[in-house]
Amino acid sequence: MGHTVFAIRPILLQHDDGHLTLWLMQDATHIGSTVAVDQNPGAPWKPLVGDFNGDG
Amino acid sequence: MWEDFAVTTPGHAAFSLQGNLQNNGPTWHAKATGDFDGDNKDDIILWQNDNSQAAIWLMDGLQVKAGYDVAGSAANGPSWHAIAARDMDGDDRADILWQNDSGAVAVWEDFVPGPGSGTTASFADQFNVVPDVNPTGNLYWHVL
Repeated sequence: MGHTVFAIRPILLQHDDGHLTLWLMQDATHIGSTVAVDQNPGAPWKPLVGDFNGDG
Repeated sequence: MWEDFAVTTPGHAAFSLQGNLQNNGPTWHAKATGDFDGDNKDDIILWQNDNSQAAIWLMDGLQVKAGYDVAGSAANGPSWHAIAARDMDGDDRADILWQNDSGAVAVWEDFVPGPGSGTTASFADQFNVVPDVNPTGNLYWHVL
């Protein structure tokens, strides 16, 4: 509950101003939907993606 | 670190858990993530750019459950860069992919923490990757 499971890994993009956006992929070459992350870490912060708590 | 991603409204999402990890100073950079100890939780490989020392934080959510310097990494010098942490040998544990400024590539496999409660870890197998000759014969290729 509350977790989104992706069959194909989403693509995380970061704008120059720090904002993050996820492309949830329909397949390898098609974007199913786009989700904007409401929190902005700020431009000096760069994301590294991983499953650190093992929730899949 | 931000955790627990969830879509909140159509087209929007948020991470409900956020926490700061320890700050080792501006010379340390998180380079890649992967599950080095096989606990199904990704860990973090860091690299210090003034002495080429690599380190691994074993993660449990927002907690660093153990931290290790990687033996032998500083001796490689600043021309080698840890660029990925992936399971290259199919043992369900991440390995380190290195690339040299020359274009050369190496893989370190089989993370071994310790011995004992020590803060140094090693990789039991270390290989240079010998590529096929690329079409141009020049070092224009980069591992992404």
